Amino acid sequence: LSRDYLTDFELMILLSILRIGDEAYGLPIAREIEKTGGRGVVLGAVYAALDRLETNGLITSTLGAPTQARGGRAKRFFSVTPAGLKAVRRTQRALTKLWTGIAQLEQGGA
Amino acid sequence: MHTHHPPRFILELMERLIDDEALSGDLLEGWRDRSNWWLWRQVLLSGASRVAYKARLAPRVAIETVLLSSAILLLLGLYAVGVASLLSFLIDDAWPLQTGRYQRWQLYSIVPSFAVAVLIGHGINRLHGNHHLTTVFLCSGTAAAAACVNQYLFVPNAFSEPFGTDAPLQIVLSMIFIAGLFSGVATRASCEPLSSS
Repeated sequence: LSRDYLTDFELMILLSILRIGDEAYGLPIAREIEKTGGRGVVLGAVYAALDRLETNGLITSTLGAPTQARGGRAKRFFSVTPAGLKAVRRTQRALTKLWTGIAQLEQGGA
Repeated sequence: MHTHHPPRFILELMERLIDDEALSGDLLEGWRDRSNWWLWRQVLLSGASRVAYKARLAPRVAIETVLLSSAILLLLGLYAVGVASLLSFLIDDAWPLQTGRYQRWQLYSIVPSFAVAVLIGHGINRLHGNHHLTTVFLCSGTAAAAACVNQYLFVPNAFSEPFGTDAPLQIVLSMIFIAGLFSGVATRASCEPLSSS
């Protein structure tokens, strides 16, 4: 199911992948969201969103080599596709437009 | 940082609930800097999240699976209680002991009964690779034996009224035991040990 705009969680995941760069796999992505977003994250929910983003062509993934520290399991590295970058920009533009001209926000305060 | 292994039961649960190699690897890697409680929470919530995600992808398959599993459990539960009732009837004269002495405790037996069934199923699982027919006989025999024990412990006058008003409750208890048995039989080989480095 393709949508024009990203959900806040999808946007956070895409931005986290872009921030982390080449070493973007599930755990660092979740930690980045916890650190910058200030919210607890369930890794299973992160992977469900990553799978959805990959199905929609917004990210791609490659499997790394299995490591002993992970019980012989491989890492899955993610990167954002050009379509993913476009979706991030489109969502940013839409949010920025919504942001501007709101008196309560421009005056500051809670 | 942990240098030992995560609790074996969490690993077993993770093997069962999470079919994504990268996700389970991330959980194990994340656990190294966090508590066992963190791993418990992540495994349970991630398992639920995976199930919900897959059910959304193929809702019809999910509904069919739930219905089919419930039907299989119900049929095997009926079989187990039927066999137990028949045996109760047959051994009525040879077994004059009072039954149903622990009737008020039967609901509390659900959790330990499931756990015992998982352990028995885990044992039966060792035969699963090469002896499928033996596995089937052992599972059905164990379920029937568990139903007999349930009837003896929990059903008053089980011998004189073998298939009485308690039958639906006994079938539900048998279904829970059989679900545990299947969970144990379905146990996969546990993952490779973690290195301490």
